[in-house]
Amino acid sequence: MMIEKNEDNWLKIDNAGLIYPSASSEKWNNVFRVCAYLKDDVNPDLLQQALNIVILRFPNFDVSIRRGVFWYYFQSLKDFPIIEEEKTYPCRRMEINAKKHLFRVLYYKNKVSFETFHAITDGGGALQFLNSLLCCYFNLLGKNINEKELEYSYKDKPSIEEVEDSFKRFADGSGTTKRLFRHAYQVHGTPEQNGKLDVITAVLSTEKLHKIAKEHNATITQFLVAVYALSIINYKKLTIQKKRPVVISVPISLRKYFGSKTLRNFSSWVDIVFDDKNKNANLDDLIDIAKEQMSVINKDYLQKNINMNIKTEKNFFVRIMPLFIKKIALQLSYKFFGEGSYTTVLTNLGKVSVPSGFENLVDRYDCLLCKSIINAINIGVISFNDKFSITFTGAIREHNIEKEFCRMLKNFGLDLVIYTNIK
Amino acid sequence: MLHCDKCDVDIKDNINNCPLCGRDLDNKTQIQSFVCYPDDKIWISKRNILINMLFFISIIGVVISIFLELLIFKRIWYNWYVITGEALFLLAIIAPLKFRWSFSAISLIDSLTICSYILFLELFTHSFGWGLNYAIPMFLLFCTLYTTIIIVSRNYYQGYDFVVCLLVLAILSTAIFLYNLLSGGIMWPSLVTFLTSVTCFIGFLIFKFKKVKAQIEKKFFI
Repeated sequence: MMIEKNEDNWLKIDNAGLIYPSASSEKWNNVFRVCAYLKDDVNPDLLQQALNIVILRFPNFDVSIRRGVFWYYFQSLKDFPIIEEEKTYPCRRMEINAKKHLFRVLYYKNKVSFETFHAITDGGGALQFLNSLLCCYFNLLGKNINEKELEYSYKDKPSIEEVEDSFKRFADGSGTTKRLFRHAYQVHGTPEQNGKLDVITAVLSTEKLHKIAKEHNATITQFLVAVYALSIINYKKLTIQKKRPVVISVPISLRKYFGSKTLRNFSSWVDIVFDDKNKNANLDDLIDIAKEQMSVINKDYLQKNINMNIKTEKNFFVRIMPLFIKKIALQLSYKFFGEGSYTTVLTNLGKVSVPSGFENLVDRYDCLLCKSIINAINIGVISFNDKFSITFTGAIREHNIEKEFCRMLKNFGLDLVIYTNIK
Repeated sequence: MLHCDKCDVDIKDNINNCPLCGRDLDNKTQIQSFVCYPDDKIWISKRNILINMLFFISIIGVVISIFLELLIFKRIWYNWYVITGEALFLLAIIAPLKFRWSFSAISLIDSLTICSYILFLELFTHSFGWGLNYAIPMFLLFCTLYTTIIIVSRNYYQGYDFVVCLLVLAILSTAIFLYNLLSGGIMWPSLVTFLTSVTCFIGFLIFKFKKVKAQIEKKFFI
C-alpha cells in the first residue's frame, strides 16, 4: 500500500544552505555526489522500493525549494522520488525551481550514486542517507544487515534534532571570526564543452597512505593538502599569476565538535594559505604549514565561525532585502568573495562507518564535488576498508595537477588504480 | 587492466589514452568502455536553446524596427510601443520560461506587467479615461476570479500558492479604487473589482484561516 505523504510542511533553509539556491544560475549549481560500488550489479526495482521506504525516514530530503518574498524555503513533496539509470556525466546541474526532489538516486552497473543539491545537506548527511538506502536495499535483497548499527536507522522515526538548523541552535553570540578577503591563485585551462565534468579517481591503500602520512608526522588530510599544494605550486610556476597565494579550502564537519545529530548542512571550513614565498618549499615545509594552519581548528574557532554566519543572516538589512535583490548580491559575493578567495577545495569525508556485513557487499565509496564557477578542480576523498579513494573533478581539459599529484603519491611507493570518465 | 608506463599507474577503464598524461595506452581492443561511468552523452538542454533563440529573435526584431524608424523618420516615436512591448514579452514570457517561475509567480508577474503596459499606453497616447477607469479594473477582476477558482480547486498547482497573488491583487484593486474615488473617475468598474478581490481574500481568511496564515507566513518570513 502506498503511503500518503503530506505536502503542507515547510522548513526554513539552514544557515549554510542559504547561499546555494541564491548562487545558482541557469548554468551552474552546487550538486555533489557520494556513491558506493557494490560487489554485484544493482537491482533497480529493489533500489526503488528501498528509496520509497527510506525517503519517509528523512523528511529533510523529501523537499523542493520554493521562493518566498525574502528567502527561499523548503516545501515538502507529495510525490515519491524515482531512481534513474546513470546516462550522462556526474553532478549535472539540478533544476531547483521545478517542484521536484533536490537529489537524484542513480544506478549504473554495480554503482549506486546519491547526488544532491548542497542546500539540502552536506557530505556527512548525504553519506548517512546513502548508507541507510543501501542497508534497506541489502535487506530487501535478503542479506540481513542489522540496521540498528546505522547511525540513522531507516526503521527509526525522524527526530527534531535531525532536521534542526544546528547553526541557530549553537550560535551564542560570544564573538565572531574576522574574514580576510584575498584573491587566490586560480587554475585556468581549456573548458570542457557543455559543462561536462571530468572525473579522475585514484584508488589506493588506506593503510599504506596512513603509514606514509604518519612518517611525516601528519594526518592523512594534512599530508594530502601538502601534496596537493605542491602539485599546484609546481603548476603555478608555469603561469603568470605568480603573486597570488595557493589557498586550499578544507571543509570541516561540525557535528562531532558540537554533538549535533542534524542531517542538514552543519559544516564550516578552514583555508590553508600557501604564499608566494613558499614557492620553493619542499613537501615537509608544506606539511608544517598545513599543520600549523589546521591547528586553529578547535571548538572555540568553530564557535566563532558559527556566530559569524548567524550574524550575517540576522543582519536587518540582509533580512528585509527582497529575494531578487538578495539573489544578485549573493551570486556576486559567492563568485568573488567565496570561490575567488580560494584556489580549490579538498574535502575528506573520512572513514565510512557502516554496519557489519557491508564489507562483503560494498567494494568502495567515492565522493565527487561539482565543478565550481571559478575553481577549475576540486578533490573529494573518502575511505572504506582498505580502499582510499581520491576523486578529482574538474571542468578543464588539462590534467597536469592531477598527474603531478598522482606522480608524487607513486614516488612514496603507493600503488594507484585509476578510474575515469575521460576519453 | 591497462597500464601507463609514464605515470606508472594501473587504469581500470578500457580507454586509449592515459587520463593523466594523455599517453597512448597501446589498447589492443580499441573499444572504449568505462568501468565506473557510462559513455556519457553530453547534456544539452533543447529548451534553453529554444528560449535563447526566442530572446535573440525578439531583440533583433526590436533593433531592426528602431533602425527603420530612425532611417525613415529620423526619430524614435512609434518604437516606444515596440520597446515596451518587448519588455512585456521578456517579463511575461521569456523570464518565466527561462527561470522556471512557479505558476502562481507567473500569474502575479503577468498581471502586474499587463497592468503596467495598459497604464503606459494610456499615458503615452494621452487618451485618458479608458485604462485606469475600465481596462485595468476589468483585467484585475478577471485575474481575481481566475485566482479564486484556482485556490478553490486546490488540487491544481498547490492552489494556496495563489493566496499571495490574491493578496497583491486585492491591494492593487484597493489602490485603483481609491485613486478613482479621489480623482473623480468612473467608479463602478474599480468598485466591483475592489469589492470582489477584498471579499475573496477575506473569505479565504475566514474559512481557511490556517492555510492562508501558513501560506503568508512562509512567503513573507524574514
